[in-house]
Amino acid sequence: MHGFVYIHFLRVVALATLLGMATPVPAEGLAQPLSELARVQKEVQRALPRLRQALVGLESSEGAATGVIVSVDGLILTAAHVATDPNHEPKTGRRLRVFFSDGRASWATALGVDVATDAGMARLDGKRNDWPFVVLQPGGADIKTGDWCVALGHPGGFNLARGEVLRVGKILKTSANSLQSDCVLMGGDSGGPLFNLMGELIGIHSQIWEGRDQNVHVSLAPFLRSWDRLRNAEIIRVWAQGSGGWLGVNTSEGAAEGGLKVEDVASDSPAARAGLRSGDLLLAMDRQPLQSRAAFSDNLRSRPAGDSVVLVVKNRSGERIVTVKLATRPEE
Amino acid sequence: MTCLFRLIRLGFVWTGLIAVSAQAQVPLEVELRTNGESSLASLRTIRSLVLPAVVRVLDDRGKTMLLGLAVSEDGYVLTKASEAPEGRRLRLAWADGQQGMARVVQMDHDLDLLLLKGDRDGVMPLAWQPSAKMQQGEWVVALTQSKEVPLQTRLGCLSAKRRAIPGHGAAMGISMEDTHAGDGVRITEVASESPAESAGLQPNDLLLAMDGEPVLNMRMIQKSVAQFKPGRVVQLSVKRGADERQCRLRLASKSKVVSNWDGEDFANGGVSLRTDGFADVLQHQVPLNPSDMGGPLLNLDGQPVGLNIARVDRVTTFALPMEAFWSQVQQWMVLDRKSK
Repeated sequence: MHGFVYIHFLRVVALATLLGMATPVPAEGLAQPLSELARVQKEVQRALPRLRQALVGLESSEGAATGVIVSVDGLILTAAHVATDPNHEPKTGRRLRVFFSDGRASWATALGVDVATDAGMARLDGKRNDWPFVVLQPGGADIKTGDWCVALGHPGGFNLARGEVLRVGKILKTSANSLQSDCVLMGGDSGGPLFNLMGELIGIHSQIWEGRDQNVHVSLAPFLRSWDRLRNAEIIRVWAQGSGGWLGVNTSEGAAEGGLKVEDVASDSPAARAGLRSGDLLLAMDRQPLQSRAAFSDNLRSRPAGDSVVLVVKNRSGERIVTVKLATRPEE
Repeated sequence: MTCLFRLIRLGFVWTGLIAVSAQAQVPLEVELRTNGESSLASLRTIRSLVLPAVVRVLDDRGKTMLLGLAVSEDGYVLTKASEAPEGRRLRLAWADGQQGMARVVQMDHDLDLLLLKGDRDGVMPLAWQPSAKMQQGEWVVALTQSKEVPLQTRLGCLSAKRRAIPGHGAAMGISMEDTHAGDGVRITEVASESPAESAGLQPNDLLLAMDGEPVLNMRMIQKSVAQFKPGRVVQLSVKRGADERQCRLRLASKSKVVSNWDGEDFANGGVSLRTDGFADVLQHQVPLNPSDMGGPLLNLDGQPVGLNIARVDRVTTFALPMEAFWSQVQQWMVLDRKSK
């Protein structure tokens, strides 16, 4: 398969299917006025000096990449394929040369990675407790397609004369573990930060496909779900679709009464223990009506194992409410 | 090739696929993306303001090679030198559909600028604005075109520090070896999308002469090529099997050739032949193609602040700031008018 590239080492996933094919909409009434652009520019330029300070260029024996400091004691978020060699069995403890925007250099040590989602962590060496850092977008805040976003990174590697490279664009797509934007990325950007207009971190650059609109970032969900494990330098390797919560049902859309129809229940899964059977209808989860398989799956995967969800289930004997504790999907 | 450039070449192809397609959600409509049609509706005024001063520089067959900008009422036009068609007279296409010939007034290899004089009066040139105070993050607008898309505006921001881009010499995009018999130099490898590939060179071809001088060994070629600027055309005598033929090859920046040795897939739209050796550039993120170079870089008021000069990679375009050339160009025009 040719054409996917990790972006420090660029990485790119099979996104052709997710990325294309949008339906045209009429242009009337959708135009953004120039004043909107002026506002965006103002906010970007206001945030930039602060964000730049927390941005780091990273270099390993294999190539160059980017990262961002997120705590006063020097925790760095980056991509898993930067923190560990993606071509070999993942290991922790990779040594990374660190470059700051003012040209100073230091060292960091890779911590944990979530192999499936490409989330990675590292820590600056030493005992400093006054690192400049950026804040994460508060949990639960909504990121919508069409939102403005700001990407920083060191494409092609750290270059002091050039400095960091800024890109301003829009969120094109959101899913459980990733964001897609039209902030164009390339090799060396991997592990770099994506921000909202308030300068809050919302993602980490991960992969590109050939198209200019095909730039993919790890969302914060995989980091937040596994924060302590990543910090403790664990290698997280769950199923191929990311390490989110697992219910253990396969569903289909299109039931006449609405909701999602249970097609299969995995044995020894949270769904099986809660008594779900194939043929049951799932009408709602946590008071939200269920309609789309994709949204249902994203919702589950964006939560950690151990979280409980409340389902409204309908079968021949009527409706009932079931609380199910999500588990981790077993490794095959 | 040098290690310096190999280091910068970071991409490797990722072959493991992660199947996520089942989770696909509806992506943002193309029209609403940063450079979608409805997002750019507010730039329509800029487009109509600027278009009369923008020309397409055509080759013999009518293909657009570059854009250009009219800089005076009496029809002087500025474009990029190193990818303009060869010759003393070039064909221009104006926005109103008219085509006409233009005379080469001045070619400047340091700036990589070409000043032309078109047969046209009453052009409304745009008023240059200083770029000195522009900062990273400031929106800029440029024009793009292709066979399918007539001249359209594109939006992006100034993305990095204004600076000089040192040159690293020129290259053809071949690896070679000396032949024992001393009967020329054998090509062992031709880089993808390189000048050598465009010129039709193939592995095992023998280079016999360059610019009429017999080629005895590869050091001779390396030495001559190193002295040339990217954009320089060299005449080669090449032997393939029993056939001997002549070809013309336009040299590219060595850094461009080396960092795109296996092709420009991810550059998306391609890379300019010359990407370095500029005394001062503005770097921006507007998505453009090499054939959009020579067109104006505009601020959000539609005023030109520079001239797009090099498409460098997937995320980078360089523009010459107006301060780098405008007083020089004005002198050239004064001198040329006097001489007529």
